[in-house]
Amino acid sequence: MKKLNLLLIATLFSVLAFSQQTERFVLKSAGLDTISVIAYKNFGLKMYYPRTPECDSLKFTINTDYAGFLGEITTLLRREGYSATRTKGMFIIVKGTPLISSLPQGYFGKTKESDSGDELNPLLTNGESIARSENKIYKIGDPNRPKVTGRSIVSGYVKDLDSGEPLIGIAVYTDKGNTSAVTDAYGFYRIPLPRGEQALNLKGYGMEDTKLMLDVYNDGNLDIVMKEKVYSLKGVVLSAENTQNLRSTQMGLEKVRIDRIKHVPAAFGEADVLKIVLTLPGVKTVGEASGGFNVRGGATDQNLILFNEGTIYNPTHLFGLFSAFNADIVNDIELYKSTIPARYGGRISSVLEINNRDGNSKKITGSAGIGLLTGKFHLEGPLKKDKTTFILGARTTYSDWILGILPESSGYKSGAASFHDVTAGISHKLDEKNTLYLHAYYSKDGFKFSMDTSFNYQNLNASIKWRSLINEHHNLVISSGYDHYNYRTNDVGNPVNAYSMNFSIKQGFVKANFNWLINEKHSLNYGLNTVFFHLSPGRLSPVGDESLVNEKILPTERGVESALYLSDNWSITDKFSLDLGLRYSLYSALGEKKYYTYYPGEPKSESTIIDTVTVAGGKLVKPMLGPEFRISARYAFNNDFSVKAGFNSMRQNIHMLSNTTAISPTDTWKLSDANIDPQKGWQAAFGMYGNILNRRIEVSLEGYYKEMYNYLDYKSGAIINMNEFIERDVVETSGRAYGAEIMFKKPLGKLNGWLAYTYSRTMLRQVGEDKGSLINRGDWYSASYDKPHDLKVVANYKFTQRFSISLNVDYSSGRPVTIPLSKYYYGNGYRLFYSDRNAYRIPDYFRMDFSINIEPSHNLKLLTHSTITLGVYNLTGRKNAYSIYYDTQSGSKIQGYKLSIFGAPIPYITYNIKF
Amino acid sequence: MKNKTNIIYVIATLLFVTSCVTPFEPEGYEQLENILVIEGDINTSGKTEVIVSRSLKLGDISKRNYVKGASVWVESETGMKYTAYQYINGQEVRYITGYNYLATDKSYKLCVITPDGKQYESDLVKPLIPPPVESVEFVTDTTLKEVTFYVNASDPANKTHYYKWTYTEDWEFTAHKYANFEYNPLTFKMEEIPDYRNKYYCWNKSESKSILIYSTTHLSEDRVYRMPLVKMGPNDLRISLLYSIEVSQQALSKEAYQYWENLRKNSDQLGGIFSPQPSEMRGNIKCLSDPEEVVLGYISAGTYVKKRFMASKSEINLYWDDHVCEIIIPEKAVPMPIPWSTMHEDGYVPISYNPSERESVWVLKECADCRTKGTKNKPSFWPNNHY
Repeated sequence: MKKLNLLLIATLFSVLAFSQQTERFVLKSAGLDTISVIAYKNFGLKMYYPRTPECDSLKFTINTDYAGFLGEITTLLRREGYSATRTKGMFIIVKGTPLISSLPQGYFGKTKESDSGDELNPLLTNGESIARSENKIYKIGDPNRPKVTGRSIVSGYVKDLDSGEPLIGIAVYTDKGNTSAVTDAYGFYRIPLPRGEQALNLKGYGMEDTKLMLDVYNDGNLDIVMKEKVYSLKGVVLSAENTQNLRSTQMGLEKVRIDRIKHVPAAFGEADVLKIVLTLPGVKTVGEASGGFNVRGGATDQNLILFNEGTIYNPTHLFGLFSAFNADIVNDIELYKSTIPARYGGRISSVLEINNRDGNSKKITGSAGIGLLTGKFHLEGPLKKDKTTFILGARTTYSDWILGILPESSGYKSGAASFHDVTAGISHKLDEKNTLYLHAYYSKDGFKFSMDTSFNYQNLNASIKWRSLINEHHNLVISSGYDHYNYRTNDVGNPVNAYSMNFSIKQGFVKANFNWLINEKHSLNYGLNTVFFHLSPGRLSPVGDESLVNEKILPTERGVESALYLSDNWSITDKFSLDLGLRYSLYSALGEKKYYTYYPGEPKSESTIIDTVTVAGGKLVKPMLGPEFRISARYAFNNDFSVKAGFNSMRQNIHMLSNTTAISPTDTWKLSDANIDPQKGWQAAFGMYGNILNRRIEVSLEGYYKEMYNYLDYKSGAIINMNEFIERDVVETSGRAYGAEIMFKKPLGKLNGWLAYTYSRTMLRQVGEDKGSLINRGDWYSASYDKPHDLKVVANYKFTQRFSISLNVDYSSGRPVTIPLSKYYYGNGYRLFYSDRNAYRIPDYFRMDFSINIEPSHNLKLLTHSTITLGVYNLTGRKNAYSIYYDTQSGSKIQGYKLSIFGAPIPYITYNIKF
Repeated sequence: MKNKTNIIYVIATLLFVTSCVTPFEPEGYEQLENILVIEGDINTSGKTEVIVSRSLKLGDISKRNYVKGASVWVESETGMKYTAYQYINGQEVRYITGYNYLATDKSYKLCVITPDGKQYESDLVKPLIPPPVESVEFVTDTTLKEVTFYVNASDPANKTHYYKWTYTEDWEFTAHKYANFEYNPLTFKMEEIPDYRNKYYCWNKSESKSILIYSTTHLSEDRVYRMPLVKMGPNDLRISLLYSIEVSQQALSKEAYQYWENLRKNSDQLGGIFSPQPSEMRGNIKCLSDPEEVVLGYISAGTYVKKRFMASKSEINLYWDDHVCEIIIPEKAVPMPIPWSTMHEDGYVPISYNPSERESVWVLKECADCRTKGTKNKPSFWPNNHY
């Protein structure tokens, strides 16, 4: 009541003021009623405003002249969140966005470039920050901004709806326009799109297909969530992987997801990240107890194994029986065996990248598992919801029981063999554009054969990574870390000879990687890598007071490897694209160092030393610079057929010293220096890729030719361990390899898997002056892993969502070995005269494994989910020869024997719980 | 290095359950034979013994294909020749020089002309004089139930570094049972065996089979401590009564050591997982007319030092006779007594006979006649008065 009176009085006063006919409006706490009267009386405007209590309670204090009255009202209203529009004799007041009183410019005609009109509030804004629904139209960009010719860049993150984890490898594409993109390792995508309305499709393995309606105006940001597909048994017409293989210029990239890894049967039932690599075409091993693998005819030390950016020197546990990576933490593995992107370097045959998952960002989950020989456990979840997540996994073995069942007299009953590993990762979102990742990994293996001898080795890696989206076109990743590998053997049986020997290699690295999407035709990737090496080649120490062993410490080797790289992914047309990469690398051993120089052209020995050179600490010993080219091209005839070609040249500055056929745990590494040149290699490859049978099956055919130089091999009788002047005992070897790989892959459906056949040859040749001392007199000979025919089948059949079976078939030609050709009696025993190196092949290798996967409960609401796997490794029980040897101790007839590692079928059972 | 061998054991252990070894005959390749092999080191204070042979195919059961009718001699760097004469002993053919005392400051080479007229020559090698053998000892391990014989050597002058040993073993043993009587199948009578014709004490001998070499370059002293020579278990006949081992030691050059070391690696039985690839290492003998021809063998020069060590059963304290000899008294056999001739035909021999009781005790021949495992040739140096 009081209010009304006041209002009346105010009105009266104002009217009085008016009637005095002054040029100024002075109002105190005037409501809209008053103002509307003034507007009508003085300006002839009818005022319309919302009759809401909020609006009614608005009070304005005004002191302006006649001309500024309306402007002042408008300003005051705007402050309150209202806007006023004057049109056709009306003064309309609305809450929020202003009314448009006329049609936009050029509505009926040509579009005219307008001046930037940024003062106005945007009329339409992005309603939602995360897109998930097909039924909405998501508007990208600001329509009022000046239009730019060409396409707009749309970018954002694709995440899992339930766990919030970024989804990697999701195909993002439009129906028209032939553009596509794939989410990167962080779930981030960037796609150039034409203007206007269109549909954006997203497909990913194991995820529901998503289709979003977009209206693109300008560059903009769109984060998308996808739902996990619960049932995926019916055939699907198009798969993301199909598109990926055809569309990318990447040749020879094999990518395997963790669920595939878990279904392939493996010895002792342990899901093995590395064993899956062996089922891919082009990858071979020397045999089952070997920890290393050979990619397209390359040696085992020519593969760069990266685990979250850190380099792993020994990727297996227990002599190759188990991999060093915890399958629960791993997200996927990528093997680059042909075209290696310019951002990688340091090894000449392949790059194997193993990536961790980030961890569920919504809730804490985990799993635990027990197998015959190992137990594992993992935990992941948010530390701060949607901002910080962690993932942690640990594995350990209890395989001592195998040694415990041996009889006392074997002497190994008290032996022990064990390993354990721990992996941890934290990802922290600093803000919308910046994320920080921390990774750590530790593994340890130890063996004690008897009371007197023991052996252990460790891997330790730690890295920190900062990822930043500079703007829509540009992002960067900077990472830095430390890698450490060392081993130690102890033998204290004979007190006079008791010794312990150590080896260690440490490296620190810094990497900066930039991605710049210049326009829809060019996308640049450039950056810088630097690695500092610190290698202790060997340290022999006496153990105990009675030991006469001389302490010998080989001088520490230090080196630095730096590279600058630049590569451009150039889409010349929609069908034809090129990837041009150049990596310029510099390597040098660092002082402090003392070394000998030798007469050129003569085999290096004590008698051919010319001079001794000393280099001060920190100085470059012998800088070696060189470019590496990474070129590939792709021509896509249509969505179902494409052709690729590539050329790669690589350099490698670190060598593994090993003269055994398989990687032995006591192999050491050596850096290149003044007397040992880096290894170099190049590869040319060509491939054809297509989808057949209504896109259900992918076919790929790749052929390659490769040459390698400066690979190290050894003279007869060379001593590898603790040899300070190893340059005198090594022989430079060149190699060449060629082959063709054909693969059929069916990624989806009840029956899925792949079949790959490879024909390949790898030959080596020692290069040197003194032909007599060279292996095979300097002629070409087969490498130990030269297996011409190789057939691999990995198949999985899902009867129901709970029950599936897997079959694995591996067939290859026998590997070459050196065998005796003649026997003679010498030194009171039978001796064998051997053939040329690797002149004979052992019988072919054939193995079939089978496993059954059962998931007893599949209810999404249960607290824990368990899986049981039963299987048989080497189902047919074939005694595949690993090696041949001859018994010269049992009489004059020399009998040959073949050693098989797994000579019988091995059944296994494992049990896993996920919570 | 030793660690590699251990790793092989570990793998063998871990895969004990599933790995296996099966006999194997490789197919589809040609074997070689008739590669010339020359073995024999130049002895600068004694006889030099050389064997010239040719290699055989692996499946050939013969031990050695000796070359007869070759000309063999030792030649000094100044051209002095010392001829080796051919000696044939059954199947074996050796070329042995007379006793030579050669100057150790000169180098020597071995020359061979094979019956087909080809001439072969070793490089000139410097004679190396080894230090005396320090000692030979044994260690009995009661847990593992084995005894190991070791040699110790050292060179106070720190000049030797590379050692090679061979040994000859002699041992005395007995039959399980002492036979006092023997059965004469011609007279069908039991005859008493006088002591001097006993079949109870016998001797046997053997030589080292493996390549025993050692290098002391990684030690601060030129000293070999406990180099294992031979290992025996608790039922080994060698340690059942009296055992003698005579160790012969020589010094090698670095190249000779590398050759023997390579030969030893190539002969390793466990040719598996982590062993290095076998490869041929050239010896130091060449064919003069065809330097590319493969000739196997490495000729060293120098002297040998020997040391004998003897140990008795009680000192070693390991042996126990696990053999159970079944005794039969044929006169008391059921259902009817067995005639002596039948016992004899079945391979039994008597050990005792009581004419008054008309009872005899018989055992299998191997239980009472030590000559089934040895000979009655007692070595000249044997310290007891058994016969």
